[in-house]
Amino acid sequence: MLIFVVAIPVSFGFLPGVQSDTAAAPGLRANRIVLFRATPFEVRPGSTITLDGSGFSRTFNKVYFDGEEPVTAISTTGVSMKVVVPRTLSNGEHQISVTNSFGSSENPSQPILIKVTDTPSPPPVILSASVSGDVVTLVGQGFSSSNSIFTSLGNTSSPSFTTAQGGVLTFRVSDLSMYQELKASFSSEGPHDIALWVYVQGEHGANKDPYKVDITI
Amino acid sequence: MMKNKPYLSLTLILSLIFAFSLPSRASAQGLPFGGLVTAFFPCTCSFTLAVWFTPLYLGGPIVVTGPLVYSPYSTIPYGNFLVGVPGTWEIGSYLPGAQACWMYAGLTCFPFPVVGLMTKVGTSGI
Repeated sequence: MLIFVVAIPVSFGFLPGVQSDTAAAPGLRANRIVLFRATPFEVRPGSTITLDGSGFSRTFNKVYFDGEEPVTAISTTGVSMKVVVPRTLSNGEHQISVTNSFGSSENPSQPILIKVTDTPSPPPVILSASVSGDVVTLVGQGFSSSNSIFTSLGNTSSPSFTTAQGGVLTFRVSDLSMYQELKASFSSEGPHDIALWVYVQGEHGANKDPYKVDITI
Repeated sequence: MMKNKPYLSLTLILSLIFAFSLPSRASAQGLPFGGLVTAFFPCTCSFTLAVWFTPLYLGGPIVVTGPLVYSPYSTIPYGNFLVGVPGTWEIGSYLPGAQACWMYAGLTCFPFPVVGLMTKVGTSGI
């Protein structure tokens, strides 16, 4: 008679007390609340925004606007939740913070802002990109002369803007703040193909998902 | 011969269950990586570190370059404990695609895609 013993992985998440009230984002400290961003940036009073962060409670969070107007919210994932902006909030920029049993997400050096307005505009959208030498050209919507570029190789605050084709931004990869450090580390091994992830930020916010541009350094 | 058939079927079924249970355990620990550190960048919102490797070996035939994230909260460091120091060789395991690097700029934090999140890492000396 043969007897087989097989270990099958099982989850005990259905048992009371085993499942945690909150979940941390990958790599973040457990039992700590952090707020990363609120989207969209421009909203009408009474509309819904999405908060991304870590340590949101599945049962009870309070979301504050400039430390006031608390709104109760819950998160099913621990890293994202939807909140309705109070109708009583005045027009203008407001700093958002979240509190729960772990404490507060408030970080004065990195305020997370939204702008309340009766006429919200959508954030910039990158539709296509091309590379010539070290110049990257972005074609999109909602670009303006006040845009800043944030990339996985650092930032540049002075992209060149033209209104052709609905909005074109150009910038040099060599102007990015981390470029020289990475270039110096590559120099002994010749050129490398890498992915440059790009955000365009302006007065109406930034594109929510990064746009990938393949470059050679 | 006929008598053994039920046992053979049972063995086959249980072997399949066991075989399919293995990948989930392996992926929970991460995939292997190794490489030379060329630079590092702090992820200011997530309190993690993006460590740039050139070259970066991920176990396949293609050698790449790119960042893996070291987290003081979830990455287990091993000797020589020089994680992210340029010029050191590092090996370990990582979770591919984990979004673990958020950087602050202007009005908000931005997620920057990385190769993955280190689950454990050991380093050479300088």
